[in-house]
Amino acid sequence: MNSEELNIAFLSVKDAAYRYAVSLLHDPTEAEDVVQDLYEKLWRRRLIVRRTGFRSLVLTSVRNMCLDNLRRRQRDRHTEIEECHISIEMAEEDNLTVLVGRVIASLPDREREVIHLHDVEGMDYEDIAEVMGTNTAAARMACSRARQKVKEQLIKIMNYGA
Amino acid sequence: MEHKDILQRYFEAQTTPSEEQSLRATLAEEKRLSAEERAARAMMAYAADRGEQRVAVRLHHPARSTQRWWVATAMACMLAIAVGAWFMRPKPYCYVNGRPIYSLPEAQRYAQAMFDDLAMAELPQINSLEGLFSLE
Repeated sequence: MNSEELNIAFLSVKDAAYRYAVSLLHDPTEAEDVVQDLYEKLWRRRLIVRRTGFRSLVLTSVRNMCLDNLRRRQRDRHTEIEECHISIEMAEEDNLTVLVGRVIASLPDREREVIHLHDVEGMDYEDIAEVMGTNTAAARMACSRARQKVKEQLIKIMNYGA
Repeated sequence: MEHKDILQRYFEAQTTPSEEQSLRATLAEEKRLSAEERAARAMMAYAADRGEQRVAVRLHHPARSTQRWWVATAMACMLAIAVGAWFMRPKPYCYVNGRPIYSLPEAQRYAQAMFDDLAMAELPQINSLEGLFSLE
């Protein structure tokens, strides 16, 4: 890729890369740094970066960089559902959306990644499998488990106090 | 109901993008929803909301650096041409009354004329070598 092609391609995928990094790191500032660092790496290697599969390349690279950051931090990202503020008021529609975020944040890593890449980024299971280094069936199964868990938790919260 | 079937397949991750879009539209219009339907609608609303997040990235500007490269190259070429033209400029053979003479035949004519004038006007006795070396 030449310089202009790289900039155009990266501009089309930078927001997805950022959202993915935030979902992994739970830190918008650190996610921003990851995206900028990735751009600098791609810029230095722009002459050998291929045009096809650029989006998958970027998201795979973001994943690897975030996992490196997490290993360095060794942060425990699993939060218990009981920490959510559960009340009847929280079961209103706007708050349900907020609760969805908290429930997703408490999912196991792979399920959280898959549900983010499919539901937020609109990727198909084949591309998700390529980014995560797994197969299509496993990605679909992880998404199914994630959605079922989120559904069950939301219903439990909505029924709380009923 | 058709959308109940799509809803169940949604939670099994078996729906196509168009089916999910149809389900989203249906759930947005329905007033009375089951708990499952409310959960699905909240999950889709969350995904749409998260999808709006944006980030600013500092990009390198290849257009400007390419432009500067071309301008610098053009200026270097022009300078090289100018220096080459200066060193390769034609040099005059002589000057006559301050006027440079670049033509060899013309310069030779002027030189011959000058020598002819000197021979006629100033040293007529040089025509004879005898006169130069006389001891008397």
